[in-house]
Amino acid sequence: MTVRNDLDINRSIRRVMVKHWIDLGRVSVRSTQGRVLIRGALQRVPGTPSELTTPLVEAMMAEMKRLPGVKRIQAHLDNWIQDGGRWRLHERAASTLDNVDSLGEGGGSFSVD
Amino acid sequence: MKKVLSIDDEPMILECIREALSQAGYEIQTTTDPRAGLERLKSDEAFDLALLDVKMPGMSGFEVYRAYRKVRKIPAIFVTAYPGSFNASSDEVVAMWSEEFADGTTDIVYKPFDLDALLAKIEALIGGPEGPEDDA
Repeated sequence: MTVRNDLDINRSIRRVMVKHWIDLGRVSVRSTQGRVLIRGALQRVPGTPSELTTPLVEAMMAEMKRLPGVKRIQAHLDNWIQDGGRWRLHERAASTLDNVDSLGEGGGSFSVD
Repeated sequence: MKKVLSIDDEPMILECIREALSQAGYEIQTTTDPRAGLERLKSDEAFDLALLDVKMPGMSGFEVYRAYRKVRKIPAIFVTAYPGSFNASSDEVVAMWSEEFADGTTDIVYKPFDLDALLAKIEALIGGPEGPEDDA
């Protein structure tokens, strides 16, 4: 696994996020030897007709996991938590996102593989 | 050495970016003039990344981005104090998002930002200052 591979994975992860209208300014992606770390808040850009839902987040995570070279995805999110195997919006964190200046200080770490 | 051009109408922001990227080992050029920056990006200079403010007098970061991406697909990071700039109800944003962001070579950083967070985004987009081809 090379750095080039990891950059390609980062690019592919961003492609998936763009497809789902994820606000890239609220989230960061970093891959190391095929292990992907996603930090920050997973939310759509303003003006998107619909908000993210549990099925959409799960579909997005599954799509990322299927990307070539991805061995593991770890999501450390401010506004989504994995509860009983399902992703759900963390309401308290989501309500304070407008005051968040930096990325990914809250939430927990969750592996989706 | 990776070469970055930062375009922002705030000289203080440019100075912070210049210092941080230089210390990290990147070659960094800056300009407060978006039109001059666009010409540099369209010219033969081998830039690996453009850092673009969105709201600038005379020419927006969106206009710079769309213009140079017609010529060269240099990765970009928008650095803006206005998260609302990226609004899906804007035809310009929708076009940019679906035509250019979709290839995964563009990212966004909101001001005020942590320089380490900016450097992390740069590294995730173009790799470290010396090149991406080495084994990790």
